Amino acid sequence: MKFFRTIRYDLIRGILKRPHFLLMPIISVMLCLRCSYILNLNEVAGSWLDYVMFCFKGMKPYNSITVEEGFMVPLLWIVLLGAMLYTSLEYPFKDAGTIGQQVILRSDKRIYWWLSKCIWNLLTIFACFLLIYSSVAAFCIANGVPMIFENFYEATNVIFSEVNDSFADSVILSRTTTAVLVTIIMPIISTMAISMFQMLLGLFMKQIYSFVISMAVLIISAYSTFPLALGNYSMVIRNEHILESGMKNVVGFILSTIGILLSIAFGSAAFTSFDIFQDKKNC
Amino acid sequence: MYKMLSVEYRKMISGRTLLVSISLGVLISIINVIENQSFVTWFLEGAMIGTSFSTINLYVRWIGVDQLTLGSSIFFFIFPLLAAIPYSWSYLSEKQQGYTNHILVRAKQKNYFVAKYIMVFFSGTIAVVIPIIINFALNALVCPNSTPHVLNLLTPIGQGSFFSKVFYQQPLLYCVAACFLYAFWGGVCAVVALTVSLFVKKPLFAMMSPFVFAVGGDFLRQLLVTPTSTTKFETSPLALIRATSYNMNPAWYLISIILGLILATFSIVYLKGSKNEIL
Repeated sequence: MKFFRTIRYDLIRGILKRPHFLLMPIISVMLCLRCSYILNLNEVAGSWLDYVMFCFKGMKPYNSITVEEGFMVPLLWIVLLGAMLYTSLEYPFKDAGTIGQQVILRSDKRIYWWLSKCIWNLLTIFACFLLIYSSVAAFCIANGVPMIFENFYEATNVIFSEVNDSFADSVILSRTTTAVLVTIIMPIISTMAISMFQMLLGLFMKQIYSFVISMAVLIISAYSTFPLALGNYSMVIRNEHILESGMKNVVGFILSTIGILLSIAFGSAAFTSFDIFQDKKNC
Repeated sequence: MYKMLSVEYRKMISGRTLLVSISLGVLISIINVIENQSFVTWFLEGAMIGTSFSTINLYVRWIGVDQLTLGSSIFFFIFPLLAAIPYSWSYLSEKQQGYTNHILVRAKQKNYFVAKYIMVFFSGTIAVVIPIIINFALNALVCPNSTPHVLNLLTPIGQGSFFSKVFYQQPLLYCVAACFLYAFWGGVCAVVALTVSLFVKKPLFAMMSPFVFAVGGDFLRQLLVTPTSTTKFETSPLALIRATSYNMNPAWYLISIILGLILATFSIVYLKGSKNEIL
């Protein structure tokens, strides 16, 4: 019972009462405006799914040997994911240093606090995605874009123009399950895994360092298609349904789930000896 | 003033955050060296027969110029954070703990802020320059030393770039100039965080502010770019930090931006700091 009260407290204090979530609609509407501009320039129409795919597009696989230009960080994708990671960065440890100490003292087990924060973290990322999808939907409704769960080939061709010579056969996501997998499940679960990893790191170092490391993970993901670089699975352009020889969804799902479970397990073990009265002066 | 500077210097240099920031920077710069080592080995094994040594040249592959490796990409993306982490949070932290009150009953408020500004600038400078110098030294162990070829397409230094003539004539001198440029950018990023810390309450937000400005600026620039919107000079904040750029970034352009930012931040810190009623 006390555990559920802790979760309820986290959801109210950590999600409903935080202004950080406003970043999501702002960024996603800006991305929609850009997508709309690109589609209009090429005189093609897109659907809600095309706009969502643009938001989580990412960049095509990078090869440092064959390129003629240097590595360009996929900024539009990194800003969106970075905003989500920033949203889930501060609250748990700020809480541990203040009112959370009372919660830990009054709950039956110390581990409840950590488990509650894990659930909060996962729900925070989920809420961020929900806000992004809703904002894109609002933009589409306002601009008369069809709200369908299917992408248009012409729009997909324009959005992913850099890889349209190596499209996978299933590039038209007409089957709802495929569309859900590519645009919802994979980006959400891989971002959840990175966010959980960031929170785990926060037990051992200052939050600014854990944020720096998460940013490094995102850049490594953009640079390399190594399966353990989980950011790869949140880039729609690298999905096996878009790109021939793209990232395998099954591998991504398994690795992300393992990442989340390991973060919870290691965090549970580490939190039993975590000093909640530590010096927080340097954040 | 001298005493205040000396106190601030001791606080800055003995802080663990400076050491951690430098270590993080060195670690990232070593990634670049490892990548270069494997590339040079691959090259020397005959993978690119017929190409000149300028592809694996030290002056082209060190982190200050290279734009192809992962190490270089990570380093310059988190450059504003690396510079801001060591000491930019100090004012806010000292204010929240009441330490500033003890200082200000013993010294002039203006002197406190000037000393703080100088030391924050210095902390940003050393946090980014030490990893870059170490990277150059380590790369010298693996990459051959020869004069860069002007026709090498891997080097984004052309006419109108920062000290482009010097790069092709006296590359070592170029490296020294680039290190100075990075030192100044490091300092600027740190003092931007200090300036923001005068207006916010969270040290974390203040530390992240130069990163947010650089990435946010670049984000907006990428959203607004159109097929006809070409600029003569580099406008991307993240690209401006680098000595090398695909658009023109002449020395006078970079120096004016840096001096402008130093002037703006110093004026804000001096005026706002000396007017603030802290006690």
